[in-house]
Amino acid sequence: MQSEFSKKNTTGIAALSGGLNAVNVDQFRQEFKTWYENNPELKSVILDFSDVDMVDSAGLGVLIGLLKLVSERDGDLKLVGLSKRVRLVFQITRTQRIFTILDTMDEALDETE
Amino acid sequence: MTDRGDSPPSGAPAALPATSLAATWFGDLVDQLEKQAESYQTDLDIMDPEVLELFAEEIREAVAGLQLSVDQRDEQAVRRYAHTLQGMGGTAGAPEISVVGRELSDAAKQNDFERIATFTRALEGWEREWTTGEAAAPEEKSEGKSMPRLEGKLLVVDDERANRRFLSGLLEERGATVLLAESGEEALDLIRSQRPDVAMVDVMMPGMTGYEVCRRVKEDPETADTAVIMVTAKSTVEDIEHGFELGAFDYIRKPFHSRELIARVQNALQLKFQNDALRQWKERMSRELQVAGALQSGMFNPKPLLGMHYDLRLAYSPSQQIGGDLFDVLELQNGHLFAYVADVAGHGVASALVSTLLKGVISEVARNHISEPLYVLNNLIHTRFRRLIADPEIYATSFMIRVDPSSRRMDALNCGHPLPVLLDREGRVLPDLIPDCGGMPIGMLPPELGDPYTAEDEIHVRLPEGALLFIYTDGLIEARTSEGRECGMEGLIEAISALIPRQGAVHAPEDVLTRLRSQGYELSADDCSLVGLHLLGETDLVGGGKFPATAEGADRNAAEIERLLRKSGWDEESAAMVRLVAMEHTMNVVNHGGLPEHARCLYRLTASPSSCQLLFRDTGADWNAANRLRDSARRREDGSSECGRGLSMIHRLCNRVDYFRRDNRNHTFYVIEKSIGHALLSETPDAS
Repeated sequence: MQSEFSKKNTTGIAALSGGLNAVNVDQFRQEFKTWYENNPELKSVILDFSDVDMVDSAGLGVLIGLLKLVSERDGDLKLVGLSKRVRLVFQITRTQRIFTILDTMDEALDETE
Repeated sequence: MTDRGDSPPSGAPAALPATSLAATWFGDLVDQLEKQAESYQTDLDIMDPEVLELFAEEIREAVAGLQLSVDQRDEQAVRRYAHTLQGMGGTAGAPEISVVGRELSDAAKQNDFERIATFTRALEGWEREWTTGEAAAPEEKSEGKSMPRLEGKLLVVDDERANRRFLSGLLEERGATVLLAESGEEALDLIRSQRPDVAMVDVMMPGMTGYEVCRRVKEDPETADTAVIMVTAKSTVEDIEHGFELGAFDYIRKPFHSRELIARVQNALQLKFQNDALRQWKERMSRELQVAGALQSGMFNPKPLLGMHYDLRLAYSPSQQIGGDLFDVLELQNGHLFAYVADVAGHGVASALVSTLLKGVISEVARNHISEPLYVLNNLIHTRFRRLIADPEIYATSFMIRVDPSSRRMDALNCGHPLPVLLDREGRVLPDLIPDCGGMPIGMLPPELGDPYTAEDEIHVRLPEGALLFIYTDGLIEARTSEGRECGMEGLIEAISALIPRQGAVHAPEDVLTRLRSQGYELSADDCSLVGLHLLGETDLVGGGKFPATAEGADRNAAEIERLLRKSGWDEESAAMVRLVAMEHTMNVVNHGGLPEHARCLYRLTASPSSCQLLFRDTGADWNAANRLRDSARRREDGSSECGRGLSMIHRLCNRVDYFRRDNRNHTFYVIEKSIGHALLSETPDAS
């Protein structure tokens, strides 16, 4: 799975592609942590799921870990661009309340302004 | 015999025994006695010395008391003693004493203390006679019959002390343990606390009558097995009937004879001990049957056998705790399936043992002769069976099959058994495919007539794709409703085909049995076994194969499953959910199965109009149990348990999850509705 990291002011943006699942969660977690730690001014993070076709329980696990990390800096974790199939994963595990799930990147950026 | 009193004997009738003391004393009383008793008999002549001594003691007490009462002209006291003597006479089987008692009573009413004194002196002399041995010698007393021993715990209930003393003396002398009660209430207490074997209850008592005591004893399940003997002077037929209606074991009329009493008590004791022994034996048998039943059930493996090209499922319903049916399914080393059902004639313990024996014989023969024709196998089975069980009346019917699941070729042999049911995948009967040929039941042919089966008896058939084959025992088709309607082949076929559309490719024999029961068929009348084989052809399989048990393997397999379903027409979200189930399942196996690097899992994907069925097989540790343990442990440390989340996802998405372990392999079978995506999407979102 490829991830592209960028930022806008103090908000970090990570665009994922492929699947977020048992195969690559460790790699993704490591990449994210490194990037987040190397950019101490970053608070909130927006994760772009537009190119993600699958999230499994391992993926959810890593997202919860990221949530903790981000909240340590008083930031929010926002997920955008989720397809129906990916949304369903949050629905069936009732984790949609834990994350802030928004429809578009613009919405997410507006919120953090 | 001098100076005995004022009334010399006069004209004693010759009919009376010479030793009768009454004749000696009360000549005119003898007339009375004759009038009252048809055949005058006294037990005093034959009483044992010890008992006689007891009796004499009572008389001595009465005499002393009467003397005092005469001196004091206490008419009330006289009447009390009179009443006692009347009762004693009846109890001891000495009617002459009863008569004396009555005379005393009359005399007291008339204040005739002269007469009272006379009778008192008579009694005194009487008593002296016994104790000084001037009565008949002990040898003459004995009638040459020794009275039986009484071993047991008895209760004597009588408000008259003398009666109690007499009866207890009589019975204790014979070896019994005797408890005494003065009243009904005391009797009930003693019966509950001491549990005597037999209770002898006087009917006429003040307060609670003997009838009431009997009724209460019989009503309480704790005390109901106490034998109650009613003792009374009342003797109408209605009275006797009343006693028996209340549950009395026996009924003794006073005056009675010691011998009669002892014989009846002995009767009651013997019967009670027999019943006790029987009850204990029944309890022990029942316990042993339960153990045997549990052992037997343990030997029948009811778990399904699921593979790439087949589903083999079983259901078994024994009639009692143990049964005569047997069945088994095996995957042979060459990948072929071997299955049979058999039915040992008869019921109960013997049949169960025979069936256990036969199962061992069949298993061994089947495993050691994998490729030989079935008729050869059954000849071997028959021969070994006959060697072990020589009785020609013990035999078993059976239907045995051996199937190559990939070619769907089946060999079968019918040994006196009902024909199988064969349906196509839509549930329509396929007639004429399986011929009605075969041989006789196993174990029936006498050894001198050779082998029972030949090649001509065998069935060879190629089953069509998607075929459903059911073999069973006759308990199933012979089951009846309470109105007498028999299930028959038609009933069985109806039940099977009714379940097919609902379940898609899950043809569970267990559900067939449930359906038959709900239609009122009494399956418990006989052992019922049902084995269902579903053969999958290429057109039934959407996908299948083996893949590496790694995270990458899991991901690729799950993605492949999604792709195959999309190709079959599944919508994006539903197919994605099945992919998720597959991913979560295999990751569980990878994380907790303890499998080595190169291990592979098997998967099979089938689909029906409304759902898909996903089978996974792996050779790892029993991960289901391990998972749950780890899961509950982890949940305590950290609220967000990944393992638990995966499992709950699976359960949320699947209509059905079967997990079982067989032959050291984990099998997991998931059924997912085709409309799952749509259903989830239309759920109202949670209001946070």
